[in-house]
Amino acid sequence: MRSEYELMIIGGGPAGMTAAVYAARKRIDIVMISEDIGGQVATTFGIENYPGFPYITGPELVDLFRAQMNQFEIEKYLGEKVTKLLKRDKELVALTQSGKEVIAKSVIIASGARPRKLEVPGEDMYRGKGVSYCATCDAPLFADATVAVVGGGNSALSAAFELSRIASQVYLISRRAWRADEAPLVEGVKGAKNITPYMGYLVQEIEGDDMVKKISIKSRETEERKELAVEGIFIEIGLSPNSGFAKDLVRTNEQGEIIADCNTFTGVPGVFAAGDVTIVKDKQIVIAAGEGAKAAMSVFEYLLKGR
Amino acid sequence: MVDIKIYTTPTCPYCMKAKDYFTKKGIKYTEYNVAQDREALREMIKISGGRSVPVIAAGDEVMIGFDQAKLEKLLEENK
Repeated sequence: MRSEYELMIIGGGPAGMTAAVYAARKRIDIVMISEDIGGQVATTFGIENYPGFPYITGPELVDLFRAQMNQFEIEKYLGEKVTKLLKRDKELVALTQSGKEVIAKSVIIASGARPRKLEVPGEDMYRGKGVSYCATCDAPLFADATVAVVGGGNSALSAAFELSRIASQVYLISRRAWRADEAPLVEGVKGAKNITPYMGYLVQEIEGDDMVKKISIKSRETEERKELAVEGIFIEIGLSPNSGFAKDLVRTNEQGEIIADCNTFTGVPGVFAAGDVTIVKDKQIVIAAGEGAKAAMSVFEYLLKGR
Repeated sequence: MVDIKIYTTPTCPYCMKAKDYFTKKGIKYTEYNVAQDREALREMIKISGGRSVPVIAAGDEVMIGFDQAKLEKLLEENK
């Protein structure tokens, strides 16, 4: 391991890989630290809104990103989790779970986000035993079963619609009116005879024996409680940013998203942030990639000034 | 080498990752598509105690999900 790199990229999703390509083409000396390559895209089944590709699967798009990045010599630590990012004099230092210390002149934080949890009793206990955060993966296991989907955004409605064609009955539970705005999807869900919406309800508890057997929900308006017998519960309530390791260094909002300006600058000299880990409003592959490119450009300017 | 079984659904990206890994390492495996094979689904639920894919069985050892580091350890121990 060399002592100091010009740029450290934390994260290997669309933002991180795009930043790597842009920075490598500017002959910036890069190290990438990431738990995986592809991030959430690697676990997305079909993508229909990445420009240039009318339809492509997540793993295929990741392979293309990776092949493009691997044209350049970039040092990588994969399977590594950054536990702390700090500033020591002018250097930026990342400490990893396996005990490595990686030092660079600048950093792009592109560590993305993970599915947000409901935080109700039974959720952890029944994970993989009926509780799922990946409808794409696990929906086919619930053929002819009764299931619940929690959430009101596009991903929740998409999961409910997918499940309505496999399961016998789908309860769609949301705290408030749906936020989903993809018209064909909303129409599909409204038209599905076996989807029953519970709008304005909170999930209170997940119960069962070896596997999930039922959930209890409560109306926010009337406080009335209901029990629904289900074998599966799919949680699709948005994302939680992977920013914990940087909390003492950069500013974050209430949700933990890193506050960066429109040029990805965090306010801490040499520290930039891009993609789903930031306050950028829409969590989209093309937006994350674009922000990654912007971050690499900003780093280039920053390094020039320091030379 | 022990027998490797992998229980999958066609739409599961983690299953694709796991199969890619086996192919790259030249490890032979038998795949069960539990979206179609109800018998295999029952067996998967029995051995894993869960309802989530992928499930990877190496001899008597069972792993739920795909975690490359854990899988390598499991294969090493069951050579």
